[in-house]
Amino acid sequence: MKPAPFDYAAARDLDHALALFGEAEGEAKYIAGGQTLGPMLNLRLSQPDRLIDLGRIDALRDARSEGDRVVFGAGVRHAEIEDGLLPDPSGGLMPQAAARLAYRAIRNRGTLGGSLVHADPAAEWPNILLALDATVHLRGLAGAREVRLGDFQLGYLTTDLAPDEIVASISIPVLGPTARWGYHKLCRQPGEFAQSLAVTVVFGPGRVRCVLGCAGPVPLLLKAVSALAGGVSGWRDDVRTEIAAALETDLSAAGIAVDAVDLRAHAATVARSMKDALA
Amino acid sequence: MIRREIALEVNGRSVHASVEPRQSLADYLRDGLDLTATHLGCEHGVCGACTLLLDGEPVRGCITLAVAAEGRRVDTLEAFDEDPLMNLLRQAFSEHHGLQCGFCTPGMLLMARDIILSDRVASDAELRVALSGNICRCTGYAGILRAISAAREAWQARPHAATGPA
Ligand SMILES: Cc1cc2nc3c(=O)[nH]c(=O)nc-3n(C[C@H](O)[C@H](O)[C@H](O)COP(=O)(O)OP(=O)(O)OC[C@H]3O[C@@H](n4cnc5c(N)ncnc54)[C@H](O)[C@@H]3O)c2cc1C
Ligand code: FES
Ligand code: FES
Repeated sequence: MKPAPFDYAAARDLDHALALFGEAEGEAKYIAGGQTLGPMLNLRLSQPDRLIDLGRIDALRDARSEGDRVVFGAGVRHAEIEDGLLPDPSGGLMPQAAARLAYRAIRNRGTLGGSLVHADPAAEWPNILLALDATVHLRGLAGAREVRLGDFQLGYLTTDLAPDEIVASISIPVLGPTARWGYHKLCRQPGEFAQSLAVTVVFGPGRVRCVLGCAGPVPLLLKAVSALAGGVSGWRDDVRTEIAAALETDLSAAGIAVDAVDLRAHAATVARSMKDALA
Repeated sequence: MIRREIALEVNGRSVHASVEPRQSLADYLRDGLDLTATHLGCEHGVCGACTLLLDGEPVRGCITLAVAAEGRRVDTLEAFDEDPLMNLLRQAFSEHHGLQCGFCTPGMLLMARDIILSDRVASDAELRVALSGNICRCTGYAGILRAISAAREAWQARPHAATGPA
């Protein structure tokens, strides 16, 4: 199993990466950790003419606090988040999720930016960073722009990114001291992609964002469920029936039909995430 | 055919090579350097047979490009013949039925060594999770888990364990 032939160039910095993209003949593609693109190349699902490696751009590996936000370079690796080596805007949510994202050998290479650009609705970061209300900062041949993550992912494996554009960084608001969160991933084998994945972040009284992965083509910000969570004080077990009803409201508003088994799985992960956030 | 010159360090030795950009690091090590401890199973990141160390960290050799290893340090199982912890692991794997056909074993050993040295894993339950990215089709895992636990105990109980270098 070998990739189709391609040309390769390692970029020194973002400007160099864009220049390499601009001069490429045929289809050019960026590669970061290669933990998604690598399998796709091997399976020949992707057959670019040129790969532009972002892995040597130091600026993409940086993470720093900036006022009330933490800004992660797109090349920050899952393992660095797992190990708690970087500023954490999420009160422990991101390190905990990173530790169950794929396997250590993959986490040592795979990046935050690559995961957001791949845009798999079953992946951790597109869901968790949507709940945290992250913003992505892009650089392209035409200049720089920023997009709220909720507007970035357009469909299954599809984003608002133009082919030449690079995710440079991801900025995430720092949770306040009273914020709470809950996160649950359902999968048969640790490290697999989720069958269902839910995250609830309580930013403050009445301000809740609950996100569900795996149910639709994109991570779903559950409005009715979030409103329900914002309206109750503390967790009660009987709130589960209300969660299931609110979830059905949210899914039908999004035009998503799921079968009874998946519905139960999603209702369970949503309830568990909410329980941990409210308890 | 497109080729690129690369220079890297493999098992402590400097090597220069001309590789196709599409060649995986695992293929280069096996075909270019005859280092065949790195096995290839699934070739899409799932099984862990191709695990090797890149700058000291375990990675998948099947989805790491050889060109991307330019200037980096690569260690395969062949580098660990004299490694005290690897010797404990090898002994424990044979004592506890940690292998049968041996296909998964290089990946298991490199992962196990990283797990023990990194101290990320405290309980047996966490050890199972930490090994979930390495598939074995023979042993049923119980022997592998016993072997790693035994090697870890022996490693932690060795003289000067608290102060000695890893
Ligand atoms: C066996 C296995 C199990 C996995 N399990 C999980 C899991 O449970 N959960 C999970 O979330 N993920 C999982 N993954 C995927 C892993 O998290 C990847 O690391 C991640 O999805 C992609 O990151 P990358 O840096 O490797 O991106 P790459 O593979 O290098 O690139 C992916 C895509 O993003 C583009 N890209 C990358 N970086 C940028 C950038 N800065 N700007 C613009 N475009 C960019 C590339 O062109 C490509 O299209 C798994 C992978 C494997 C192989
Ligand atoms: S051969 Fe690399 S993970 Fe299976
Ligand atoms: S010993 Fe045969 S695959 Fe593990």
